[in-house]
Amino acid sequence: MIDARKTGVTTRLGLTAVAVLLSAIIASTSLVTAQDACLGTAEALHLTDAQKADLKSRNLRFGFLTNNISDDFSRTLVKGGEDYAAEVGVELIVNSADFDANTQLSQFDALVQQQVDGIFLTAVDAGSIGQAVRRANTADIPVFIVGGAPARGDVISVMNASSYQGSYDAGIALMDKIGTSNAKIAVLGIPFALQTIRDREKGILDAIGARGGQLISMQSDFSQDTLLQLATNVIQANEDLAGIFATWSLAVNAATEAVKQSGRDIPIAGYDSEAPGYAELASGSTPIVALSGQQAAVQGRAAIEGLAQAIFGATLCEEIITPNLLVTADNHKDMWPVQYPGTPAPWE
Amino acid sequence: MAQETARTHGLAQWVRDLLPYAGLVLLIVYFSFASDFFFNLRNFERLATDSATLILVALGMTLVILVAEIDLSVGAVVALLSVVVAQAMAAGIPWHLSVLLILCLSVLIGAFNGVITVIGQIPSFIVTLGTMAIATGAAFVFTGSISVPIADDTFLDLFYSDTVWGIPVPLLIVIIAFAGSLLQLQRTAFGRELFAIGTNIEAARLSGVAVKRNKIAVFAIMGFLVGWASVLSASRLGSGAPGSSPALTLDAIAAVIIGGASLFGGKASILRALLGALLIAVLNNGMVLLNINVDSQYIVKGLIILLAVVLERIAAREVAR
Repeated sequence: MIDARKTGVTTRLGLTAVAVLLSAIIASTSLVTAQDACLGTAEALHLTDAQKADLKSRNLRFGFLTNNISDDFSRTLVKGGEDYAAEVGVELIVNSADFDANTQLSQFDALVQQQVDGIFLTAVDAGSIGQAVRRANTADIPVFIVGGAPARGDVISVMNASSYQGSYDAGIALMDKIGTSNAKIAVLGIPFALQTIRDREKGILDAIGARGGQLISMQSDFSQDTLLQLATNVIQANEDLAGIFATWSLAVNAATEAVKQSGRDIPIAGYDSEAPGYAELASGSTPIVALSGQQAAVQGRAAIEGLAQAIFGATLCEEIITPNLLVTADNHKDMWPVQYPGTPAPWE
Repeated sequence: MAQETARTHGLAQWVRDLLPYAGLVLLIVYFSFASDFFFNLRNFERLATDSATLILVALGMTLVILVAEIDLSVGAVVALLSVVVAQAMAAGIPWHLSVLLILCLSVLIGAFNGVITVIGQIPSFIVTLGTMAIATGAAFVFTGSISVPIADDTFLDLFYSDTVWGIPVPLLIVIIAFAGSLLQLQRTAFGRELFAIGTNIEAARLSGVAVKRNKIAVFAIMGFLVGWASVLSASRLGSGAPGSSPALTLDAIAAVIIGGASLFGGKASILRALLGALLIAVLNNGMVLLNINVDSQYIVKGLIILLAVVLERIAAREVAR
């Protein structure tokens, strides 16, 4: 015989247990959702029309510091930032450190002194800007950085291009073009204290390893002249050199020139697709196989939007990755307007 | 006629003495009006702290230039030693021992420059160019081109933001170094011998001055000051950064030259070198506060250095007449 009262109690207990379980699941889901609620992509940072109007009414001033202004990437980054700042009525104070960490520190401190509303920077050396970031923290000025988190102080987020993946993809394109195992590859780079450079180097080393190739020389310098000499020497010293990978724009230019001067058929791939690289790809007769391009204009806009979002109270994810473009002879005409919007192409 | 010549001579000397002061005051007045953020205590505190590295190196460079030598390695050595001090602390060596270590190392590097220059009879221009290349390369090799963060708050605060009797520690170090250099040059036989060496090395040698020993000592003192500069630089940056001070060497030489020193030796002043360094520091600070682009800053700085040197030379020629 079934005891109806007992059954009722059991049912109530069961329902309570289910309710508790459901609540726990909902609560934990909410927790996960809250953690995931950070803005983690350049698209997610986009401002609504209402936010843009609000921004215009606030008369904000942002500092925008770059490690240099001598390459297409930095110029496009600044232009992207300036264009968007003008659109949303933000005054932008732009300065370049010309690769001097001490200069950048002074520029950063000057912005704190001027009590700007936010600071965006591509650090000369992320490890050396921490003391200044702490001072910005004390002054309640949000800091948004490209290239790597500072050793000290808090930033709202770190924006990075896909340095490793971009380099790896271009490296794989190079190795596949060569097509033979045990191919001997030289890397031409830059002696720069930034994680992005180390990531690019790791990307190409992994690509070489993945296709059974062999690194035979790794050279670096800041100047295109010296890089040209280095590339020329490497080509001359290695009869069986199968390919060259350049980890930054001037190295791409230097490697291309050195290969052309040598008269040998050595394919090149690299990181940074700038105007000279595009012009080469458009020429129809170039040793360049593929270039990995950062979306500087996207990053420039995201810089302003990220700072604005932080001021509006949104949480940015610890890292915001902007994907790279793989530019080849086949797709360069489509890629140029994506990478350098509003800029005439070098072949026009 | 003679009276008039004497008056012109006196006026030219007066103008010459006044130039670095006038230049500094003019810059301060200009930036005070041009920027809302220049003339305030907070900025002056920051200016004093930030310019400490340059002033220390300029003081050392004054002695080196006085004896008709040059040291092109200082910027690279500051970067290398800042890396060493950061790595020493990262390896668990207490901050005070790390500082002691790099001070010893910096004196050794300075003395090395001196020994090779003097004993090897090689121009210091070449020797220190070599040291610069070695130090630059070593800093990048030791760090794998990534700066070494410093986690020791005591070190970071002490040499950047802490004060003693209300004076920021970097400024205190500068004051001690300035007073020491001034006394050394003006009140000791060593100082007089340095002037003698710079004015006429042969005459100094014939007079019994220990030219070689004194020159090596000058490079070692330069090294000691560079050691302190690297401590302050590491503390300011919060890390040991390879390639962190590319402009330091030229700024230090410019400061000494603006201070009226002769690159041919025999003429230099610690006080005027300090004024020269302050002038460059104020110029750097003011231009940044005015948000002048870094490339334009080079032009402005170059023009002011040229103007200072030309005015100084005109005044010197009038004095010599």
